Amino acid sequence: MRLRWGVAVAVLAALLATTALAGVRWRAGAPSSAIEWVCGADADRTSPADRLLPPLAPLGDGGRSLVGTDELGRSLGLRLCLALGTSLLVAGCAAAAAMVIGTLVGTWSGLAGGRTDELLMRLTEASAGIPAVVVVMVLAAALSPYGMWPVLAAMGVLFWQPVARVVRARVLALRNELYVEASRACGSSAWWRLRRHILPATAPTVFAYGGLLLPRLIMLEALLAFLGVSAAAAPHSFGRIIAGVTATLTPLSASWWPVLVPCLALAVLLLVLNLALDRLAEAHG
Amino acid sequence: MSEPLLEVRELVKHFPVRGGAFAKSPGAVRAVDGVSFDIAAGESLGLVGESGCGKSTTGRCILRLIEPTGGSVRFQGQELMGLSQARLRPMRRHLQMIFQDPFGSLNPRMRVGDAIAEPLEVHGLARGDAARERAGRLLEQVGLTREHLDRYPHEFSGGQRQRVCIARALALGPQLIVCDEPVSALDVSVQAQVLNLLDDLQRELGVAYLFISHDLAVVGHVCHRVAVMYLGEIVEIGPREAVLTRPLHPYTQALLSAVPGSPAGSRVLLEGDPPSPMEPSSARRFTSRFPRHAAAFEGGEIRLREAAPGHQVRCARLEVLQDLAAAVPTA
Repeated sequence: MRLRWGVAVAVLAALLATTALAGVRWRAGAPSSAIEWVCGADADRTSPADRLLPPLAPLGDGGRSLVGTDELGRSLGLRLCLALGTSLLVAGCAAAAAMVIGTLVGTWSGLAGGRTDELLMRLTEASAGIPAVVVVMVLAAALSPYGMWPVLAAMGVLFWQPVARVVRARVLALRNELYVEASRACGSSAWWRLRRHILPATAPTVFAYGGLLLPRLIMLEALLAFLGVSAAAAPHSFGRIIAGVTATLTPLSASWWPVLVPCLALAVLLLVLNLALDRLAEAHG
Repeated sequence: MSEPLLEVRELVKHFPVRGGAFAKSPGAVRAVDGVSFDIAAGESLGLVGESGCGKSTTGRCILRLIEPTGGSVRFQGQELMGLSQARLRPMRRHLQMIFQDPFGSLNPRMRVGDAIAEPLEVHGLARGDAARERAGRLLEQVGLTREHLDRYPHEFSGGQRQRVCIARALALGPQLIVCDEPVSALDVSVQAQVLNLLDDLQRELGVAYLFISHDLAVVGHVCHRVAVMYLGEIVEIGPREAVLTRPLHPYTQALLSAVPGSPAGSRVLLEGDPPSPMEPSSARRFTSRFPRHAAAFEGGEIRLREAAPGHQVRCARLEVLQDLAAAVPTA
């Protein structure tokens, strides 16, 4: 059972990592992401003649579009692949940041007890009271010239509280476990007990919570991009694609396909993630 | 007598009781209230008493798993009470503990071999293959086999787990092991096996035990000397034969006559409710419960008095207890 949980985590992590890496451009400029290189196409290439085409429509250059084109005639399929990479990278890194900060604060609070614990927990509650979305929007807008990393950091910093609280509760329970006392009785240091007994028993909880954060962070990233907040940061993201094609939508326009496709893609991504995480939680028991 | 291995003097542990937000604290539970005893090398002292009398707290205070309120614990002449945790850690090599619950005292995520090797690694005595080798030998010493090294605790029965805990406690070659009710969580059929193992190990290794138990039969089986605790105090301490067959203190007599199968005629029954453990010790905690023996607790200072060499009884007038004990034939 332990093995299944470990394997499932590894598989999911590998999946997320490869998808993210395939769709991420490490440098600005010509085809640099793996997916563009494989397709031999450029997600940025515009073609005014092929604007807002439905899926499988013939293109001006003789080819066919797979899932349609956007308002500037760019390939929607390719852009969605890049958006997937952006989403997963941003959400994954933000979740990781939240997990690290949450684990640090939670274990510190749980082990220290007394006043330190009170102080840290009140701090956690206070920062949970800050409307995260608004703060991320402001930060993202202010920091957008510096790329997408600040956005991601801001998101991580604002979502650590639930992790900290869950970790603290777990550490408090573990601290009183007889086997931790037994370890103390045989002469181990506090650091040893943390490393050998408390953290390994806390890890599954942390990963479960980090997993729960992923869909939320993906939605938040999409929202920010839709509102144009992290515009400079990620040219290809679900939010930006949806925003771009939605702007062309008029009551008389017949091209509703280009709006449906990215929305559907986002919904499917969230559904798949949730199902995978559910399965993980089940395997963990 | 040469210098004892462990000297406990006036050990006190009070747990403060919290009042409401604005009320003042109503006092403290006097879990351990001035306990003193010695343990010689290779000897086992049984500490018996009903649940809640402070026997486990005494054991944990000696190892400083609970910080005592006061008193002194000297191990081989070295005072343990003032030591910082860092200075105390190397001392823990010589003082080990076996817990009551063999299910809780092993990490469920750790292989048994790693659990036994942990103390060795903590003290930097062995690691890797060498630690594994030592763990294997320890397992054989407690009657398990090397094949058990890679198993997880849930694969073992209670008795086997307690054997693993014993192997873990032995890993550092301690001179004293505090056994906190080591068999009371086990099936009766398994209890004797584990007790015999502890007995054999003592003979083989010369390790001393502080054996905490509520079960007089268990204590009679293992211990050289017995101390009886009542409300945080030792009321009678002495050689096993004296305490278990010719007890002087009415509380010891009551404990013994509560053992199923003891002759009905000699029963000593406790009367009334147990006094509050928050009250300081007084004659009343004895007289209210043993009205027949009340005279022994009045008209003098209540302290441990020597009835025979090494046999001490807490009372005010020893001769009253001796007369009463002589009048009523005990089991």
